Amino acid sequence: MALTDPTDWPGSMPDLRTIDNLLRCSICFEYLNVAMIIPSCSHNYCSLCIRRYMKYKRQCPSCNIEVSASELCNNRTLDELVKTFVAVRPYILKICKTFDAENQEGCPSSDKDLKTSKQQVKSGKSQVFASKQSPKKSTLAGHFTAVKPSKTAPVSNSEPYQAKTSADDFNVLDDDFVSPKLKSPSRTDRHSSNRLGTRPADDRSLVNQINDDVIDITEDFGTERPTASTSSSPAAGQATPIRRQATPRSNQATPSSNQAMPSCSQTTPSGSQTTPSGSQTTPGGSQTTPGGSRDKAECPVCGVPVPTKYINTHLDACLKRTQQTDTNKRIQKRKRIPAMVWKLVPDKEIKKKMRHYNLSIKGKRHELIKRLDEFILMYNAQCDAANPKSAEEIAKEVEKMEQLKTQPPQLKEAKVFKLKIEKGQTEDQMEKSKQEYLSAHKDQFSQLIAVARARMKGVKNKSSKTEAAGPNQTDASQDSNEAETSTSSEDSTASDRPVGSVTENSAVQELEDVMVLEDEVEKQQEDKRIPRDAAQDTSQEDAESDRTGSLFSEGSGGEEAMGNNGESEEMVMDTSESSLHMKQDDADLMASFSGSDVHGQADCRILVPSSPSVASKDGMEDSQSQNMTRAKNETSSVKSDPAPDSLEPLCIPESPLSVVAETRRRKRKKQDCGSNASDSGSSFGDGDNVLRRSKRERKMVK
Amino acid sequence: MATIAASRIKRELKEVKADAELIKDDVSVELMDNSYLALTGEIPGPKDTPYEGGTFHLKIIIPETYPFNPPQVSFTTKIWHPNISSVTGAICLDILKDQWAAAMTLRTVLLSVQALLSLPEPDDPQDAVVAQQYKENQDAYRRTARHWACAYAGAKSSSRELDEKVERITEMGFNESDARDALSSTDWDVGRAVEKLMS
Repeated sequence: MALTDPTDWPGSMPDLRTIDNLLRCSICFEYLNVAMIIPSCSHNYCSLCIRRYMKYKRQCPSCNIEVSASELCNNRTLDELVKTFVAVRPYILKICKTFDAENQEGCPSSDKDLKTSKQQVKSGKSQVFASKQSPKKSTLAGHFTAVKPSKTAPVSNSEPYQAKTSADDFNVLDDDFVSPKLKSPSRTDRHSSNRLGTRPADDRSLVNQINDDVIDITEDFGTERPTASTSSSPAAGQATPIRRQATPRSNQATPSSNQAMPSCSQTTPSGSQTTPSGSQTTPGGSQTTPGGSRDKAECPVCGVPVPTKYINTHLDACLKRTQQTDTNKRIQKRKRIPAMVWKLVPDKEIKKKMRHYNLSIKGKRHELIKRLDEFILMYNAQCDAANPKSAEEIAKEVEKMEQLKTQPPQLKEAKVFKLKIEKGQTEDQMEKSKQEYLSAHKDQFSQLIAVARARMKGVKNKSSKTEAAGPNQTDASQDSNEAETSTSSEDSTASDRPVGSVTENSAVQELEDVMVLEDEVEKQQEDKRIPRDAAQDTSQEDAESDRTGSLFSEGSGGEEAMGNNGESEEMVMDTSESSLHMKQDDADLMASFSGSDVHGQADCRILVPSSPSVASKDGMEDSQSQNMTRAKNETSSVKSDPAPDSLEPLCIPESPLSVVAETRRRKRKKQDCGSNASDSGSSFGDGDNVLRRSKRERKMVK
Repeated sequence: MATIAASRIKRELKEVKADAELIKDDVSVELMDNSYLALTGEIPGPKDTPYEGGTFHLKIIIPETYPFNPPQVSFTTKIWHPNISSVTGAICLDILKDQWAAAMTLRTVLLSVQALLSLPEPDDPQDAVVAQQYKENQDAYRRTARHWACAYAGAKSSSRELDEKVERITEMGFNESDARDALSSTDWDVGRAVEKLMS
């Protein structure tokens, strides 16, 4: 829908502008959506807007009067008004615009019209007609009456609409028309009982109508009564409860109806009471004359005078009824979610709540809280609506909005090209889509490579220093140094290779492989019921290795040194083989991920003193992929810690960059669930940890 | 919400451009780029104030949480006013801070800023030097404000005397705006101004 605005109305009709403005929420400037009134100052806002504003300030946005969210009340009349106005708006706008244009063009002629009309008035023609002829009148009524007789285009346009609305009105009345036997009385009664809460303005006239109807009914009672007393007719059954609801109101309105009502209300409270009340109706009819309330007491609930004999039974029935209506109301209105102090709520509780509302539980704590908060806000706002949306719908909306927000604007606009590889595709098709993907993202790849290369140069110098310090490191400083050496060795390996289109292609290939794998894993993750065998296995292994790792932790410094001196070449072979092996095993993504990480880190430690060129052959692919990953995350600082926890995944979807980031993120997740086993294991240079995934490797170590 | 901010600003721009009162006053707002999050405003100095005849430019930054948070408004034209920083152009106006309400619009903000120019509030100052001058030496404040309006906002009929004083200091090799700043904060005492510049 295009953006509508009060200034759409021609300047010559300021009143219409005012009306348009008044029907808008002064927070969002849209037409009121589920209007809520602040009772203390009568200002109206959208439910969502005012609730959102309440998070900032507990004041009325227009007059700064103190107000709390619980004070807000629905203003359904305004809702109806807005709905109607929005429906009518285009038609009125059209009429007004054409009229405005006409008015401007034919200004002199309209003057003439005015004169002639005056003459007509003088000559004795009806004054009303004359005023209709005068287009000079600037009031709304003037516009419409002026347009009608001229029979120009706008009129023909508006006519179908008018016909439609009248038909609509008719439908509304028809819906309300319940019992053909009772005709108009039942219709108006029902109408009033349905709408009374929301349409106070209508009340007075309706009450009057009801009174009339009541009298009608009592007059007709002679004919109606037989069916009512036997209560066999469904029409009577329908009519009576309706009557009853109308009773108290009409009671207060006029005394004449006061006396008329008991006869009706008593007719059918329940099966047991039909007999007494039925017998009572006969005098009831006669009691329309005032002053006949001798043996009567007023019911404290509905205020109807009832014979003292039956007051108890009547009271029981009355109380039962009011209770029922109360519970009905409660059921109708959806309960709001209470506000929470998130600081006091543990993660677990938040996630439980979010799962309950079908919200995704991705992201960090503050993201979760934000999402849940937004959901609760929208949910509570919807609670005010006449037909609230379901929680699922709201949850979907919240997530959609979040996606829109997190997406950077440039990427949102740019056409995103996603690599599509599906299960049923032939190899040719896959190749083709790969090529397309490559060409589409060539810039980004070359950018990544350039960044990686720039970083290489910077780290190379530092790496020599850390190498020298390597064997003498203490446990405490080990982690950070390790991080540096790992990157540096990767860089050095990469730098030894011939870089160019070949590199690019292999890197791309690598990325694609990862992506395909990821798709598979994603499918698995989507269905939580299906256990991820491979991943679970490895995580178990991780846990085991964690134990062994901790055993070795004390002597890790020496271990490292030993690795450096003696076993370096052999280890390199092993690890590279393991990584290759893991790569072949497509299903075991987890292994490949943590394996690559382990491999990279093990490499670095082992390779530090020995020649990096050995590693360049073996660890080529892995380190390249890691380079790519880090290039994304470490563009600014070369020194930044590559430990997975410190890396913030960047959410740029559906591009190579995002793929890299995503890979990284997944990896981190897996490592988390594996209780950082791979980290601790590899950091100690323990052969078992590095090679635990392949039997062959294990053999070689032994 | 970001969406609320953008659509609201779109509407408010229309409103400002269609508002007869603002057009009459030559108050205007333009977009700085297409993001609807940065705007430039222009308000004329109100009549019967030292700022009369000048045109003052404003920078309006719309936060993403608009209209729940106020827009950040500051003067890009230098101005001598107790509630506006003579250095940064930051405005001290309650509705741009804690008294902001979501029902306020660009229109009300601009009108409020214009009203602030004609009714300074020295008890709640942004620029302490100006506020002190305003309280202790109204005449000096008026002359200074007038001079600044002429120098920076394009107002006419500046006082010759003050121009000459600025000129004398610039002849000593000082920057013109520095000279003006120093003179303004020393009630146009050339000696003290030079001293201040030297320190």
